[in-house]
Amino acid sequence: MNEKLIQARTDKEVEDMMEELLVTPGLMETLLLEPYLSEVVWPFQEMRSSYLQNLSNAHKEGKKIAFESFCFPPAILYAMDVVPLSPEVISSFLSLGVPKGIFRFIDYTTGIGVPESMCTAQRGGVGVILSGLIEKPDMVLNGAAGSCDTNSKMFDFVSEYLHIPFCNIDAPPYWDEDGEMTKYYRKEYRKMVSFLEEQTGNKLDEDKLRQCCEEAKKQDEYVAEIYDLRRAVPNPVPAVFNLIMFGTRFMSSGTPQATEVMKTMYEVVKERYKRGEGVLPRERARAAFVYLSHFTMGGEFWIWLEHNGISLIMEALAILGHQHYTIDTSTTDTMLNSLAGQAHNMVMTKQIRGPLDYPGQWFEDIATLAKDLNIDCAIYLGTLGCKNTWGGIKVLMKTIEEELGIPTLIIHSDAWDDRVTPWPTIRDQIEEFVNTVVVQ
Amino acid sequence: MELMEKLVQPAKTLSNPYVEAWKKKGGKVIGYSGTYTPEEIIYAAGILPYRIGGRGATKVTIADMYVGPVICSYVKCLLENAADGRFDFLDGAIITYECDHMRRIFDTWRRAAKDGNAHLPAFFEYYGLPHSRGEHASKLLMDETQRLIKELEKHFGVEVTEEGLRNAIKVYNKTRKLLRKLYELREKDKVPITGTEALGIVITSTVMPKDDYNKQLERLLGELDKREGITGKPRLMIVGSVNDDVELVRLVEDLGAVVVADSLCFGARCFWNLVEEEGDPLHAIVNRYWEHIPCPRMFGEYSRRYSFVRDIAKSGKVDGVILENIRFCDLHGADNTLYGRDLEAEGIPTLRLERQYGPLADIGRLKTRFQAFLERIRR
Repeated sequence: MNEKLIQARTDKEVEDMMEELLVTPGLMETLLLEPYLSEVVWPFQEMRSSYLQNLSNAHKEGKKIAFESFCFPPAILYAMDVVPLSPEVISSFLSLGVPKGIFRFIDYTTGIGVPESMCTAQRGGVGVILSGLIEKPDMVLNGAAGSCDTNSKMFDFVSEYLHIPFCNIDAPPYWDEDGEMTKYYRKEYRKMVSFLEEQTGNKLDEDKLRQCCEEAKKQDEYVAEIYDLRRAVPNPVPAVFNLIMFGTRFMSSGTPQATEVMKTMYEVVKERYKRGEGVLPRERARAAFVYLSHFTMGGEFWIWLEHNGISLIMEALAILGHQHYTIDTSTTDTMLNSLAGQAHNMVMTKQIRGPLDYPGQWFEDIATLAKDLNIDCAIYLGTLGCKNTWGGIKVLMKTIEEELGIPTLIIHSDAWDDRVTPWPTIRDQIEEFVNTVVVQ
Repeated sequence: MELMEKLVQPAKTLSNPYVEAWKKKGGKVIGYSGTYTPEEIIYAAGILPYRIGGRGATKVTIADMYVGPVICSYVKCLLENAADGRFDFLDGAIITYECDHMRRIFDTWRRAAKDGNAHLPAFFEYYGLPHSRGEHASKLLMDETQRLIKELEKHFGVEVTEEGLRNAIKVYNKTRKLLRKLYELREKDKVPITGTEALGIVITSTVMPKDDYNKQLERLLGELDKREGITGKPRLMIVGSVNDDVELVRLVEDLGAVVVADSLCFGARCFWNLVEEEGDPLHAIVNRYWEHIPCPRMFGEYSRRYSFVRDIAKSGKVDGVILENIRFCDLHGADNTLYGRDLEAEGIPTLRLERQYGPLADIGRLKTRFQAFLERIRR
């Protein structure tokens, strides 16, 4: 089937294969090859199916679809019966699903004039949406304002291109735990709630909001428990659980399906820990990926790391930003503040909104985790679209080397587009770095 | 025209005779990064605001040590200028969060200085901006501006008074009104000034003392009235990424066109809106900067930007619009696609151009693109 997609030349051919493609066969094959992962595969698959099913049924059921960012937890959307559509999720399904699966959609956006230097995380998904292969959104929620211009610009573009309403949820220029910046963000969050009420014609329902918050709270607890277990040497958390963890949060935060995925992962990890069983019998390296991982080739990234003795201790998307807020379900107000807090502290939204060395920013968070989790090397993978991180990564890595005393590696690649640097080349660079610099 | 030369020449270099004379008298100079920095507060502190830029850089060797490969070449040139000591005359710098490329200059310049690869002005501040509007955004911006003023007062031992701000508003509004007059002249059928000269004059407004500038510009406007205008050439407008390189406009005009309008941040967007002269001056200044023609950094505001571009194109009776963006400038790049769609729908031809920032990088390709566009217009 993969070959058929690669060979497909007409939209009709692609359309016929989309349904199958979104099952992400490449990733599923990868997961099923590893027996210890299989327990998690099914709840994850169920959650993913719901996400896609919701999308295809939304308009038939009279629901609105919101085009929203991966760095914005969608619990509030579920509470308001709005269906989330994240371009990054669609890009990742395509890219993880089949080799080259995303290319034609990235190229589609270039064809309509989207600069080719914009982020592939959005371009793939936007290509699918604009080619009409999945339901078109009814509104745009930009959750990346303040942390990523390129991401935000794509949201701005989609709103103008499709002539659909737009709402900015702006992360202020600095971060604080409970000060003026937090207050500002809470106001932005409430502005978004009013926007959603206006677009859907529905009032926010306190009971529904509470249900979603309670699920989100349980999910946070499992994530926190799993985080604690990462301290163990050897680390009992399978690398691919990181992908499942952030994928679950990005797609389905606040839903019972997401809770089930997190719970299953926690139980697997806890049992391994009790047995003193690490993912690797001996860790050659305890690696931190300070920004992205690599979303091509059926998810080979995560499996390959472990087969090569590299323990993935920190993957930014999975574990940055799971602190500095609590979910309080007492009243509508406390719940909105809690969800705003969760979004305000989401990965990327929190760390890269201000100067690198300011409180709560990228360096401080990496330093805290590196010490806490006994990390011994730091690697940057990104996209060509990520101007904000590329603008500062060399300074960040120099600082990490000097102040934390751990070696670093910056790889020029694109997490969703292997045409920039093929995965085997990336793999070789990581391997060489670990062999020659990390393992003494 | 000697006066013209005086107002255009400073646009071609970084330091200039006005800055040198200011420094000789013991004056302080603060560099700022773009159109969202409220210059009036620097002026009110008795300090010369100076907009830093990339012109003059002929390599990016040091900049490449600090930023990645997908960073805008204007920003790289700016960092290179800092590394090459071309900003050593600055007593301070304010890096405003205008875009992701520019904001990281705050990190990279400091790091380059730490490594001994650049001189860091003793006063070096970050000015954070939100992206939304509304009361809470205005409050955040006001708090941030007050913080900046306090830092400035503390470092330089000066006081920014209400009276000083009122005076600054008057002086700056005068500059803006004079520049509006200059742009009105460009709308005439017989255009008395080239686009190359006009860009030079606007750039100079950002790098010399405003009082002196206003006097000279006022005189120049009088002289321009007597100039025989340019006719019979295609009238163009330039829209897009930052450009402080007059040679880019000269390249287009040397091919037989005249540039009569723009929507650029070294151009109409830096002076178009006035500050309200009544009421609290600091609020008025903050409001002006926040409400001026939005840069594409402001999301969800395309229609405001497009209205401005369309209106200026129409009043300038332009025959075509060049939509340019520096490579990796996604903010302008994406907007340019929409401008292209909407302007063409209104019957205004457009040229979409991605380029590297000067000094006339890629000149052959640019020339070919401009020539082809002019042929399309002339047909």
